[in-house]
Amino acid sequence: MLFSSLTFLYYFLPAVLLVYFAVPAKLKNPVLLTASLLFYAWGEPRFVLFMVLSILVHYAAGLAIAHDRGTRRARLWLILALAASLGLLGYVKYADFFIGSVNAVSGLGLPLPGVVLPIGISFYTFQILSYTIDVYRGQVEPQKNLISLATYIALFPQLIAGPIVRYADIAGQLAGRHHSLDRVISGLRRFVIGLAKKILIANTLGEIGVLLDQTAQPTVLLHWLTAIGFMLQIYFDFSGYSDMAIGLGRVFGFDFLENFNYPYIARSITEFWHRWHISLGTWFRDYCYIPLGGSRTGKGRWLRNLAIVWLLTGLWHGAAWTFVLWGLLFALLLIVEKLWLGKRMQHWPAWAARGLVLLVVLFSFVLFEAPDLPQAVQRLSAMLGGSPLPLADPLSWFYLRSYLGIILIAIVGATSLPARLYRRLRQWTPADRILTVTEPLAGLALLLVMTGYLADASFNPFLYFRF
Amino acid sequence: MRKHPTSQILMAAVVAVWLILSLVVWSWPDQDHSLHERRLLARHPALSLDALSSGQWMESVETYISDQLPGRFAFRTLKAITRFHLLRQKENQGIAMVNGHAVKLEHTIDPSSIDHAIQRFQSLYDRYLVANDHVITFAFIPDKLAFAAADLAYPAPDNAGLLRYLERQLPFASVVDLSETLSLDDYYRTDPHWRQEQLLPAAQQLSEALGIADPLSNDWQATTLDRPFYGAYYGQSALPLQPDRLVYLTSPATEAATVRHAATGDVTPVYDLEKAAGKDPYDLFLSGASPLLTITSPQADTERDLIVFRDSFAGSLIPLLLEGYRTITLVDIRHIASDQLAEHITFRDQDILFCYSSTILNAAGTLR
Repeated sequence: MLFSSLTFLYYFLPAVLLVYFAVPAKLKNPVLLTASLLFYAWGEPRFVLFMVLSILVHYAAGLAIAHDRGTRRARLWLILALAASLGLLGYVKYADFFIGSVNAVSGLGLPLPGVVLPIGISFYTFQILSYTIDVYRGQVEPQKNLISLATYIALFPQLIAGPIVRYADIAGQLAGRHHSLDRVISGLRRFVIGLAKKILIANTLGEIGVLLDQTAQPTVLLHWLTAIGFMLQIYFDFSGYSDMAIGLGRVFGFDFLENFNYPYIARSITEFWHRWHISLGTWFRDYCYIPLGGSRTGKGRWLRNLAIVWLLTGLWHGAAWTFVLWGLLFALLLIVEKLWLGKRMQHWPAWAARGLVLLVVLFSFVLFEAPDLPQAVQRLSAMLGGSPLPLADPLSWFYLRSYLGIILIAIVGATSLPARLYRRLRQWTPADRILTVTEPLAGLALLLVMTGYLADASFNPFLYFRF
Repeated sequence: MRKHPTSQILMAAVVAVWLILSLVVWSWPDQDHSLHERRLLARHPALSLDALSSGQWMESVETYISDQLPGRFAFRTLKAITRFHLLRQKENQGIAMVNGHAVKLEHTIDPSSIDHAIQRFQSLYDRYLVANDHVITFAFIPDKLAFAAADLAYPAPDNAGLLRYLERQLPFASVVDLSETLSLDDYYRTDPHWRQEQLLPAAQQLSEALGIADPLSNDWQATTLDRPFYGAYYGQSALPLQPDRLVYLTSPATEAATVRHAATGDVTPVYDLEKAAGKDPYDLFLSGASPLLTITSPQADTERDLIVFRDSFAGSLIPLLLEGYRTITLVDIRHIASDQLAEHITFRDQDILFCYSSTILNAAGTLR
């Protein structure tokens, strides 16, 4: 089920809220688990079994590891649990890619399995791995209550597009959590903001990419418009989803960590990745980069570690060579930054550093979004004037005029300016009084407008579902 | 951020409004059809194990919930207003606004569709027309975007190129470009069709090509239908547009003429007021979509007959030519297969008119 659907907004969520707050505390987790399984089954009925199987495997592994702690058997249980989850993820997500690549290199005609990727499997696999690894490391106690563990894994607010919530961060909240009207209101407020980022901004910007695909004679201007549109779309799509997840978590008494922190104001690539998809970056840091030795090894091994982590980061995003290159591109950029450019950039004017980061990220997302490598090269070449395309034509000017408003809103919205302005206004008494009344009304207006958008559209999947 | 009790109360009120709205959504009775969108609305899907396990049932429920949303059109209007006026976008659902006209943004011409249409017309010619000495005319009706593109700063469709192509590919027909006598205001503001009361210059241009009496010389009476006309673009754009008014032109010839529908055997007047009171008032003209119909015009001042291969635009144009023909047979090959025509029509020496809009030529897959 999509958050951005009438079904979720007017049927699922109100019904779950009413039941959740009507039942006693001991039934809240079972209610959430039931709702989450229904939420998942709504879009992927067959794949619920995969998730249930993963939960059972890691539940048993957690208990077995704790039972055999300090022995080689504990390590065996960990390896078996990791192999089960990563094996399943590897098969459903990467089998076609690897066999296709082998076919391309060797000329063999091995049949592709053609496996359908279960929605959200990359997210919930990483969540469940964090649980089992943390149990093995002794950082958390194993969860003896299967329903509590299953609720953590299947929790519908963050099930299919993150953020990747660590078990350690919400273990206490699974056992007991605080509910209040304040939390419900502030959670729903955050949810509506996220929904608006998704529906009003990301979906509208997403139309630009469709225009490029439909245009028989693209122009350089349209390629740039598409690239800028996608760069903003993916931010508002994904951060909007995270806002919705965090908001819904708060409604149900959970505190999820922030997943985005204005990445497009970063002054370096390192800073960008500290601000973008934070839960994925910290997951790879804690469960891959540091175990490999991190940066506290020789330069050669450090470079190797970076390359491995970013290769995996690229592959996590998708099973295609564009994602592999995208990950390795960031490995290269981070190496260049850490070895050479980073210190120099600290002395650059802020606008120059930010401009360079934005340009690099913009080009990286062209690679990220392209369906294959030749098209990525073609699009980058078109943007840089390497293709015999006209600079602009009346159609691309028309599109620019039509989408300029939303692009400008998105650019401003991607900075911390609106939040800072809001805080300032809240500190000024006359504005604070006005906002006290207008903010709830604006929330209601947003809800109604978004209902209009949903009524007028039937299909608007989240970008990050495919990961 | 300080928390005001007022703010919390208002926020809680908004949450309550949302919950009440949800209750309204749950309990709202189902509607059969949407007047503005001119379609049947989805009904609650039947539950089955197959549909459930495949996810088909959930998809159907999503469609059902979207279709049956209370105030659906008002919500869509809210979206359209946000898009046009708040975000300053130039279109909604592919519809732009120019001087009060809703215009569909479709400037590209689909060569494969045009070729399909030409192949169908050639087939008609080879099968029925080549053996006789027909005067064959092709009337080209531009989409109204052709007259709005400049104001929108949007590319205009290449109608000149299309006409050249049609002339080359249809050597048996004399191509008449009706663009020359039309302007944007000759079309309804909320619909792709043209307004009959504005068509006399186009009818005059066509009558010259056909060699019949000038319809401008007739004494036409304009009558306005007493109900508003919300055209197809009204529903598509969802903007709060003022409705159009349907005006039809009558003359002694149109009053005397009768229309016989081959599919049903019904005989109706040229202007079907009963149909005009139905779901689509544009069905006023020759009762709307019909595979094959014959108009008998006792007031015609000639013994000539006309066969028209046509789309819906011809419905309002043909009544203006009734003085020139004793009978006019209208064939819509979207609704009847070309190879069945011999069962209904005897091709002799009738004049032949192909009367098609660029819209249909550009989406000609339905021509059979």
